[in-house]
Amino acid sequence: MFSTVARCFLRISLSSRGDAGITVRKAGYKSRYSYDTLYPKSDFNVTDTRELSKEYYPPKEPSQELPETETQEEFNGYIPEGSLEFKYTLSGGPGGQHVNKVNSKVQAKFHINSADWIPAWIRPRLKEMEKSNITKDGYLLVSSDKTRKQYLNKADCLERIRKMIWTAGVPDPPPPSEAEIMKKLIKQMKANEVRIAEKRSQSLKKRNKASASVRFIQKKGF
Amino acid sequence: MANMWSGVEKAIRMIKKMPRVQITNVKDNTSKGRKSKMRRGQHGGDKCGRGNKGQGQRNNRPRLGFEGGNSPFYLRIPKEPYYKGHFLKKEYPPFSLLQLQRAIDLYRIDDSQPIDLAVLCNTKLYQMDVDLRHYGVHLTEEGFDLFQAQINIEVQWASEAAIAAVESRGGVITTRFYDPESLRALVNPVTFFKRGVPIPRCKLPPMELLDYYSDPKNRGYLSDPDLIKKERFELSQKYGYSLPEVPYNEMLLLRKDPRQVFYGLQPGWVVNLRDRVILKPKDPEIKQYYEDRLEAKSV
Repeated sequence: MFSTVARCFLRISLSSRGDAGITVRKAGYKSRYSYDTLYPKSDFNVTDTRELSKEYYPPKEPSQELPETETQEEFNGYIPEGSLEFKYTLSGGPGGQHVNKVNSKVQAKFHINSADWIPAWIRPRLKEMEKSNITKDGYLLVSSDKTRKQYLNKADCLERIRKMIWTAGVPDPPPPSEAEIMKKLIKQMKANEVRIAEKRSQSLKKRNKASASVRFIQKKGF
Repeated sequence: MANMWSGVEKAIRMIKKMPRVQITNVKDNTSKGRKSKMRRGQHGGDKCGRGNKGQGQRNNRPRLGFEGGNSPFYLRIPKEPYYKGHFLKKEYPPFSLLQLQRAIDLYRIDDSQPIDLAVLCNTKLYQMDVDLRHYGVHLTEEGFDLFQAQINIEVQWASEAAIAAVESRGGVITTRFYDPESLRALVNPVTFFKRGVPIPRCKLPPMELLDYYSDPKNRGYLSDPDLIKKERFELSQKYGYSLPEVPYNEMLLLRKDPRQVFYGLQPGWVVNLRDRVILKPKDPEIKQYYEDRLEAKSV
């Protein structure tokens, strides 16, 4: 299929009306840099992206979802269509007629618990992190009026949602081993010793500056 | 009786009787008023407009820019680094999505056929001058929200949002390089064909542009289509639209060969518009040259 597409080009028929009555004809102009020599294995049908969403978001059965504590499956950034609800409203602030009339503010909303595109172990962490942006019903709200354009604000919302999930999905650091704890303790003790020695030396300095009578009193312990 | 009417009224009465102004009954003014170059006669001769004595009459004026000895203007002003090499830089005059949509709506561009630079220049809505180092059209994102057409468009530079706009409607956008000779042919194909020279084979991009046209993010024509598919998908994720299911459409997938300048015409062909004939080379060496398959001759 791709070879016929790669060799496909149009033949412009010179009609008397002047506009190009174009017919499609498969023929063979191929230079040294023709597409089937550059990329012989590639599929030139770029409009066919059905397989890609399956790569990013393979359909899962409910049984495959492992409990929160176990898996550390990463979030790959894919947000399926229809999983977010968008609302378009007027932005605030200065901007004259444009800001008064055009719905450039975008609010994205989704229900966290039913979002199966987020790995299960990340969901409670996300809830904890973003509890100020979550409604009573469990919907996470993200709104953006950063730019003048609605489509850019939408992209900003999506970017922020992804960032939130990725930050929530940072795995906990592993608990420190015995050797590491020991090392830390030794370090702390050493630091303490240094501090105390410094303190004593400073105190001695101050005492030596004092007058003879004061030193006498301090020595005798009055 | 005729003296009753003023000049304006006479003119209006005349115009009412005349036929409507059309392309067929409009004529240039004759060039009677043009002055003769030869300076002859009482009014053109004698000193021939040169005045009396001095440098002006005696063809001894100093070089252009000289101001009699003081520092001239063109040397007083310091150079600024921001415009260094401005005369070497390539420019891509913009054409917005808004303009494109308007043209399609007004039937000035046919969206059922692939759109390339020749199509845009033929509409006369877009002009570019190859002599001013214009290397093609830059598709800008103004009109993103209004854009609706499903098109196969080939431009020379495209912003990310413009690519997103075209692809979100199920269209295909490719960025493609043309060298100045090919650009001249594309910008005015009729004038080019009238010259009677063979269609040139397009050169590959120079080093500084090779990265741009090999990058699938820019939908470069030299990039891998499999990577373009992935980028298409990722862009849809970035801007939050779903890629529409497009049934197999040959028009959308049509692409010129990297050496090809016109759709349907090969390099080396001579298009004779008058006799409605295309002349094709027969010599195998010439054919090989235009296909870029010429083998080095062994001495």
